[in-house]
Amino acid sequence: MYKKITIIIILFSFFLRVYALNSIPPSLYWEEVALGYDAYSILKTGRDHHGHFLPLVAFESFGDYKPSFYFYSIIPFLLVFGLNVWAVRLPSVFAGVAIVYFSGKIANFLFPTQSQVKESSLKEIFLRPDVLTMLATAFSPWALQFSRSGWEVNLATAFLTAGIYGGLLGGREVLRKSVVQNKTLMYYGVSVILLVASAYSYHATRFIAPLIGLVLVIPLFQKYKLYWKHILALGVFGLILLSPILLFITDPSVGHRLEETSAFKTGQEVIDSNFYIEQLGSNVVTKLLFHRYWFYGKTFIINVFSHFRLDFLFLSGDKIPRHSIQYFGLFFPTDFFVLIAGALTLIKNWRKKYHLLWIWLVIGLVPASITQPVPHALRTLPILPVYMVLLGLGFSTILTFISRQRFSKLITLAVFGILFAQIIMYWHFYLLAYPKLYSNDWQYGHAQMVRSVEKNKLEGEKVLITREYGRPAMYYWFYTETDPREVQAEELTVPKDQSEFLSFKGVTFINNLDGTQKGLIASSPKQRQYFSNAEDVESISNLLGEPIWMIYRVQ
Amino acid sequence: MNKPHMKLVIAFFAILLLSMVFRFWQLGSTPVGLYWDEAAMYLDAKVVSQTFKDMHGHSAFQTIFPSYGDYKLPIYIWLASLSFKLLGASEFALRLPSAIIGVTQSVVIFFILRKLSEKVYSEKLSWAVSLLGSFIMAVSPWSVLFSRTGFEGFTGQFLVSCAFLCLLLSTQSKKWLIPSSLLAITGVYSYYSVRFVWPVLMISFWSFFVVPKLFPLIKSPTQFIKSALFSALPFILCLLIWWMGISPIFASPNYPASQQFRLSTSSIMEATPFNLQSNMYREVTGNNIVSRVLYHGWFLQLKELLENYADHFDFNFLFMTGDNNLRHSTGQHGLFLLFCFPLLIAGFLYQLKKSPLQLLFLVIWWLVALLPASVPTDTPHALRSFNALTPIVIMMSFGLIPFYILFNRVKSWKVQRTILFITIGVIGYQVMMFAADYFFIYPIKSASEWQQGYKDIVLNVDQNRQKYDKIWINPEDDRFFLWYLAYGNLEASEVQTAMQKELILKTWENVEFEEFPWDRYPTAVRPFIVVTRAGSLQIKPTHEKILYDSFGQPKFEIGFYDKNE
Repeated sequence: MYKKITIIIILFSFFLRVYALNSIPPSLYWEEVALGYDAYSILKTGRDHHGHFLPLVAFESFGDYKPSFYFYSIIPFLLVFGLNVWAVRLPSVFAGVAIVYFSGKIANFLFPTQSQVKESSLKEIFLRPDVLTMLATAFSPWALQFSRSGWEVNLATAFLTAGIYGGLLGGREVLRKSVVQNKTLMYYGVSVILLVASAYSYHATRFIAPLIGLVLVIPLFQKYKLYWKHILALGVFGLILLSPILLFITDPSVGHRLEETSAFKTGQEVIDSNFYIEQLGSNVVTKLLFHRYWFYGKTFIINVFSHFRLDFLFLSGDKIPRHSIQYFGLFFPTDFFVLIAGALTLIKNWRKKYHLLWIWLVIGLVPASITQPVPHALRTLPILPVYMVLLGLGFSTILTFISRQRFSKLITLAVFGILFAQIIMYWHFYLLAYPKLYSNDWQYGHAQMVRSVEKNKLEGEKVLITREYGRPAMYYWFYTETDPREVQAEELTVPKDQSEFLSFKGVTFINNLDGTQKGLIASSPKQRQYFSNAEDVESISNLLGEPIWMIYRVQ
Repeated sequence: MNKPHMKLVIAFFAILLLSMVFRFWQLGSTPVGLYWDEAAMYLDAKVVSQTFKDMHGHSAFQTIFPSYGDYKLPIYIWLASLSFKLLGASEFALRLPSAIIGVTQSVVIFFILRKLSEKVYSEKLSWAVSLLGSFIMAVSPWSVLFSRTGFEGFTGQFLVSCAFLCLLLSTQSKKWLIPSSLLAITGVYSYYSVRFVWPVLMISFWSFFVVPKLFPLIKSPTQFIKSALFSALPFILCLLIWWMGISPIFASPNYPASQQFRLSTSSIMEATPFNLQSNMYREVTGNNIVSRVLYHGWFLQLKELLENYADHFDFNFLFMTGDNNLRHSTGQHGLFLLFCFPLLIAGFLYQLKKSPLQLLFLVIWWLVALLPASVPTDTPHALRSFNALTPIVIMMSFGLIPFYILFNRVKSWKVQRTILFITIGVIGYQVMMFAADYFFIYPIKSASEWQQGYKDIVLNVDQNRQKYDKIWINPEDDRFFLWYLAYGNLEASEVQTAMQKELILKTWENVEFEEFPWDRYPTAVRPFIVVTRAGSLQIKPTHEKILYDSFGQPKFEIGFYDKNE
């Protein structure tokens, strides 16, 4: 029965993630398009669109050096579906389903069921923390948001969760058995591979995965006399796999993103420190007491705790509409009480193995807290399973408590009624309101614009597309399925902004128009006003019916 | 109470001394100036101390002072008037009642905690918990900042704490309910939001402190209900007395205007933005019955209220950065110092396990205290949420117990000594940093928030008032007249005459509180003075005086346009 329920939950979570995937979110965001086109380029030529041969650590992309794994994970889907929304988003969907499954397995590991009966009743099964963890993850607004579009972080989180589960199994084998077994090494080996895969999938997990890996091998260190060879082998194995990242640690392909988003890049901490020292008299004591590192530390703590803001977690979520639907937080509002119940249950029945959860939480928050903006739902996604396990435990505690009360059925019905109402509200908003209200945030209209330009372009006519909404070159290649060889051939000759192409075979991607340009032009209605003598070709509106792209011809 | 150990008594007085240092040192000069509410209070108190009438010539014994149109409650003005009567009008005298209240609150919280803990824990532990509460109160940036300014809210919450102490004492003798009600009435006369807090506090106290004590004594449910209702009678009576006591406020002719002023603040009660948002959601989701229910304006209002509430529970607001307004926070510290965070968590968990009803009472107090702060849209707000100070400090103080238990489990004295040393070091460091920040950095950074320079303008201009035909003052604040009337060389009767029919004064004798009309410069009758932001004098004066801000930059310019040019 348990297995059947697990399969049903997994299938259902797959359904929740795949339903209307091509239309909600309403279009591919530019990062998704970049992932898709570079994967396409690899598939066709073995090189990315800049011409780099099978990039291992990161893809240059727009100059933001995206970690590589997600690009490669798209390739099998490209073979099946071609270059479209499905191919780009499906790896994330499967990663999302894997997160559901492995979060449940971790909950099962941490809170093994007490029932000795092989065939548990349905009620018993639905009181189990692991089953409830899977259900909570399946319906989680946070998990769903990142599972329904092409986010590298979702894949990284799936690998991380699976890797942690593997490590936990390895640790258990070590602690249970007094003799060395190959099974132990196998668990740990798989865990290392998965954690390394996680490090190759997302910037933050380059930091998180190795540290969590070290925590997972603590049982080996506890029996280091018996396992020193294993420790050495795993260490060498992990280092070899990570060596490409470690070797390029000072290279832009690894450090660029951190530099770009650093929380300390404004230098405010140094200004504050200098101000204090200057005002209080510059001497050894003030230099020590008001050293800039204190101010860095303070910024870091502020950023860490911003991720526990109640409105962020339970009411409105991340301010960026691509990361949260804005009408809900990362969790449903009532999850506040469930998480508290889970945390209290955990504290009350504390075991050594539970340390993993808070260590995971703390390590997972570091990368998001040394960057801006905060709080950030995307960069903290690797800690999602921690919350999910707590939710599962909290639900289990609450439902078990209710099941022992006099009117348990009635109360359970009421509780499920409240949960169901929230799920309905979420999905109603997600399916009907979110795509329309935030279609601009998902770069809706680029696909239609590119198709229109292609359809209406005359032989040899010059084409201008404005960069007002972002990075049109990549959309152009993606939706015209441009042969990557043609793009690679222009790598050294075309003008670029960072690594973004500003022209391609007669198409110019221009920042601003001034009324002097000629040819087929795609721009916002605002820039269209510069051309009084233009002949309108097509107007493209967003999902609220507001015109966003104008395609017109200036002779 | 048993006779306490001498060391603990010394510790108590040491904390009081610390509390006094934090509140009295440089009281007149830090914060660096009076902001408009204080300036208005200064003016009212100055006039009341001389004539027993307010700045408008109304009796001082009125329940609502019109002030400059913000309708202030009377208690703090009365206290400041008394202080002015004794010490003369000064910034120090204005803030003195608040500072005394701040120090007294460290004592009151001590006794509250003693009452809550004395019969539950050992004498030593009870003292330790109470001393900790007293210490937190003494050094909490929230309490310190507001102890050093004339904010009515601080007095209001202090009186609620005193009333709560009396409630605790009433468990031994019902006669304490009378002073409790009187203090609560006085609390309402100090700060409007106390009227929301007190009834909830009374009912919660009866529910969580009185009723549970009946359980062991009562055998049948009927008898229990009877006893519970009987025990509620004195509370109901006291609530009635309280209501009667505060009703003169509602009867005041100024009450409708005061409510109108308070409701003019942008708040979630304003339905229009929510209805617009609701309409948009309905529109995009098909405008059917389901969408009309799911996106009803009430849901959106409730969501906004919860978000505003959530702002007040933000860790950074509580422990790291505080309120965005530099008058309410130093910007470098939260409402409490960081060492209080583990105490709050530990206190919450410990009370959840050991005294859940007490915890529930404190949580309700905290929540109801946040209601007046969460309805307006500018959240989090340290001033409006002030009624939450006492319950939070109580919660933190009980957080000492689990640490104390853990500490005692450590066998080695050396380890204990090291832990103690580190703990004292960390707390000492934080207190010292706060003191350094508040007394040396904050005055510079916050000067403009405290209208630094206004007093200097008045002193510079007023001494020349007779020599010049006209004075134009435009520091871009239409309340500047408050500073002029407060610091200028005016008799109380002159103030009352000027303000008799005005809430905002635009002109007084030869002083115009508005921008000089530069287009009329050629025909302006000389000599005259123009006061404006630095660099805004459009025509070079005969001579000028520049007033500088705390960073040494020119802030105001006083231009003297003499007759001979």
